[in-house]
Amino acid sequence: MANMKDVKRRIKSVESTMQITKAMQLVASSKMRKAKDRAEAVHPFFESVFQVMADISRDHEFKSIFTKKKFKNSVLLIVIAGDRGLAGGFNSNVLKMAKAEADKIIASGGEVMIMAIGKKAVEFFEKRDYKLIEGFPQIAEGIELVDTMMIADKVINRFRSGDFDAVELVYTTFVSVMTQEPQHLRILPVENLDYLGEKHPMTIYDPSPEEVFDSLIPEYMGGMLYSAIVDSFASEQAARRTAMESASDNASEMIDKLSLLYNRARQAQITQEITEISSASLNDNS
Amino acid sequence: MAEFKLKVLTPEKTFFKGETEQLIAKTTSGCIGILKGHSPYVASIVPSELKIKIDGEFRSAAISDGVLKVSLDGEVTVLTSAVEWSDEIDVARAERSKERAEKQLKAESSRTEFDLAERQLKRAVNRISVASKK
Repeated sequence: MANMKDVKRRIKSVESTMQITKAMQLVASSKMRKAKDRAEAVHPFFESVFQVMADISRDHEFKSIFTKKKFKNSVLLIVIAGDRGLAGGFNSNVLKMAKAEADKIIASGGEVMIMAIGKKAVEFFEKRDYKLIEGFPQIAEGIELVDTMMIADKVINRFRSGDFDAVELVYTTFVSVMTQEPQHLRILPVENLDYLGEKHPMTIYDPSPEEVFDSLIPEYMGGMLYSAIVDSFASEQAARRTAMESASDNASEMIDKLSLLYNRARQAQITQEITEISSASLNDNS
Repeated sequence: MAEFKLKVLTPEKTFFKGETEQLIAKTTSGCIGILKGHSPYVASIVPSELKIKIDGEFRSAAISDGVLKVSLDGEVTVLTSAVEWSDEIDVARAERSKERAEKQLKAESSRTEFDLAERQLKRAVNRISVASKK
C-alpha cells in the first residue's frame, strides 16, 4: 500500500509545477497576441514595396546586382530561432531545416555562411562545424525596425562587396495558434518579380529606375527581416503556449491519479483501523 | 485646395493614411511638391523633412530613406523604414545616436562601418533639425 505521506508530497510538487506551467502558458499567450498584431502590421508596407519593385521590373529593361542570377556557390543563410527552450519542437524544427539546407548547399559544392538570430540558433551553430559569421542573441523580444535595418545594412554591404551571391532565410512562420511551420526562402537576388499586368511606361522614375530599385533594397531587406523575426517570435510564443497547455493538462491528470491513490490509501487505513478496533472489542466481550 | 489620398507606411505601422492637399518631400534630386493630379512618378527619398498639408496647415515629420510613389490613379504612397512627427521626436535619443555615429566616424574603422556610421549620422542630424523647426 502506498505511503500516504509520500503521495501527499508528490501531489504538492506536481501542483507547484502546474502553477509554473499555467503561468508560462498565460504569459506566452499574451505575448503571442501582441506579436501577431505586429506581424500583421507589416503586410501593407510589403505589398507596396513589392508593387514598386514589380512595376520597375515590368516596365523597364534594367540591370541591378540585386536581381542578377548567379550560380549558387556561396550563400548567406540567416537562421532565426528562439532565445529560450520549453517551446515544444519550435527550436529543433527550424534548426533541423536550417541544417538540412546548409548541408544541401555544401553537398553541391557551395559555401555556406551563417548568420544566427536568437540564442538557440547561435548556440546550435557554434557547437557545429559551420561558418558562423555573426550571431544576434536576445533581440527578438521587443525588436525594433532600427535593429533589423542595421543588420540589413551589414548584409547588403557584404553582398555588394561579393562575400556571397545569395541570401536565404530560414525561420518559423505563424500559420495558426496550433500550427507553426519552418520556412525557407530566398531574399537576394530578388526573385518572383514577374508581375503580370499592363505596362505603364509613362511613369517617371527619379533619378532612374535602377537607382530607385536599388534604394528600395535596404527597406525591402530590413522589412523582410523584421517581419520574419516578429513572425518567428509569434510562432515561438504559440508553440510555448501549446507545450505549456499540454504540460498543465498532464499535471492535472497526474494530480487526479495521485489523489485517487491517496484516497485509497486513506480509506485502506481507516478500514484497517476499524477492523482492529472492532476485533479488539469482540475479544473484550468474550 | 483639392485633396488626394496619401499613405505613409513603415513595416511597423501605417504612419499616415488619409486625405491631404499637398506633400513636400526631398528626393535624391531635390525637393518636390506634389499636388492632386500629379503624373505617375516614383522617386527615392533621402533623410529629410516631410511636410503634409492638412486643412491648410503643414504638419512636418522627419523621414529616413524611402521611396515615394504616385500611382496611375493619383494615390500617393510613401514607403520608409522610419518616420516621426516633428513633435514626437525624442531629441535626447537623436543626440545620443548622433554622438555615437560621430565617435564611430572618428574611429578608424573599415569602409563598411564608416558608411553605416555616416548614414546613421545623417538620420540623427535630420531628426534633430526637424524637431528644432517646430
